[in-house]
Amino acid sequence: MDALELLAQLRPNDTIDSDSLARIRADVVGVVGVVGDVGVVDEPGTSLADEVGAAATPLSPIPQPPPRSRPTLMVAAAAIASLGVGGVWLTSTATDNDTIHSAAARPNDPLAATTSSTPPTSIAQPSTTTPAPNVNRKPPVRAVSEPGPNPILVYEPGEFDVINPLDDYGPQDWSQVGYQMRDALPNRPFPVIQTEPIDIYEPGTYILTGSAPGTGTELSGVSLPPEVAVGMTFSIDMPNAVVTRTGDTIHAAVPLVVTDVTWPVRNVTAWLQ
Amino acid sequence: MSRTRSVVDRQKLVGAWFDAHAADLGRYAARRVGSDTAGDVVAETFTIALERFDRFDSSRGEPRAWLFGIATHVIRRFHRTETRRLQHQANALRFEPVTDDATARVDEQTDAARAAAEVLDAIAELRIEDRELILLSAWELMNSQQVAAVVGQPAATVRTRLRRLRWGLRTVTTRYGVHQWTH
Repeated sequence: MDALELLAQLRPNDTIDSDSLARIRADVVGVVGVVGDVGVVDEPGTSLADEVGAAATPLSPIPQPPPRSRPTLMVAAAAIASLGVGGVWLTSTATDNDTIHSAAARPNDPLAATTSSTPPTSIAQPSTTTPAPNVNRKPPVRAVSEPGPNPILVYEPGEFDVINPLDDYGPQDWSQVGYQMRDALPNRPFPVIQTEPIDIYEPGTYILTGSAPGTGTELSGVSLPPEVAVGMTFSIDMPNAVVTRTGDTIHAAVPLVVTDVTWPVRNVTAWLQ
Repeated sequence: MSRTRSVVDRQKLVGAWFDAHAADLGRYAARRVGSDTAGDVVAETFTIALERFDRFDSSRGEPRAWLFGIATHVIRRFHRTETRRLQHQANALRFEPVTDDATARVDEQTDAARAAAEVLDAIAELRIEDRELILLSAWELMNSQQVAAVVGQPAATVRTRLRRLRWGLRTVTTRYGVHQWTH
């Protein structure tokens, strides 16, 4: 018996009583959106009876997403758009040296076209007045880590907990996005770098850092999870991005300038390419 | 294909979803955050479902999976509550009196209780994303495809993550040599 089987036998018997459910139904389904609302909405294409019927059946095997096709830039853009509600793929470029202070985005860079394929987000453009990134700056710590291999944030009473109400389908697997990006850019030696997780609670400049084996030196873009796109206003300060190489390992540091936070997000990791 | 439908019909449909799935969602929420909080989770889940009804995509899964996905997100707000709950459950197991009189049986039960308590402690320490996978699988009895539909990841990824998590937790059960546990 392994831990999962053991855990299954520890399943609590807690439940919610039918009276409570009835009250919730009356409060939520019976009231919300009815008064004075005669509008129409787009909705899924199956019939009401079909959907109710489907809803009443137990879970059955879920259709899987189509397999990844051969890499193209459009695949990467589509993957990012479909995997994340507001996934952002920002592009820029850097000069080809062992130590690179990246240059401004190339207007003719075909990668830049992928930006327009992403869902609309409120992305503040880098300003010429943007302060230089302060690598010593840390996000405000209003949470502490508990002991254990996987620290868990503990919030003070009354403080927010993070949720992304727009991402109804749950957390996305950003490693898949990384693979998509890598597949889509097979000729670029620059590796896909997953940055260290950071917590973003308030406006400020945060440094996305990460390392990966590779020989390339051209940083072409940054992909951020949708929680960031929908939860805050930000820009990637590409002109101040830094790429260094030690042996076969590439180290990248990219400033993320957050100007407004609607929903704080923790454990933000970006993908650099 | 998409067509338009009145908001009233939308409410009827979500109401039907409520009738079909609210009890299961309530049990899911209650198991994770307790009966007192479960009502809030269910209420918020269906409020979000109504507000974002037009974003439901039947090609990505059934309404049940979509609703469980929303509920899973909502439960994240209560992750502290859930953590405490798991820890309390673990402590209760540690101090639960053993009723069997046979000495050998007592030892066996004690080991099993310790292993169970450690498993719960380990689950409490997992990242919330990993905890969700484990509990959807172990407590909601979902297979990897069903979990994948809830958390919005490929089934292969979910299988890999679950395998890794099980592997990471194996030391707890092997430490106590637990082969069978009856509660």
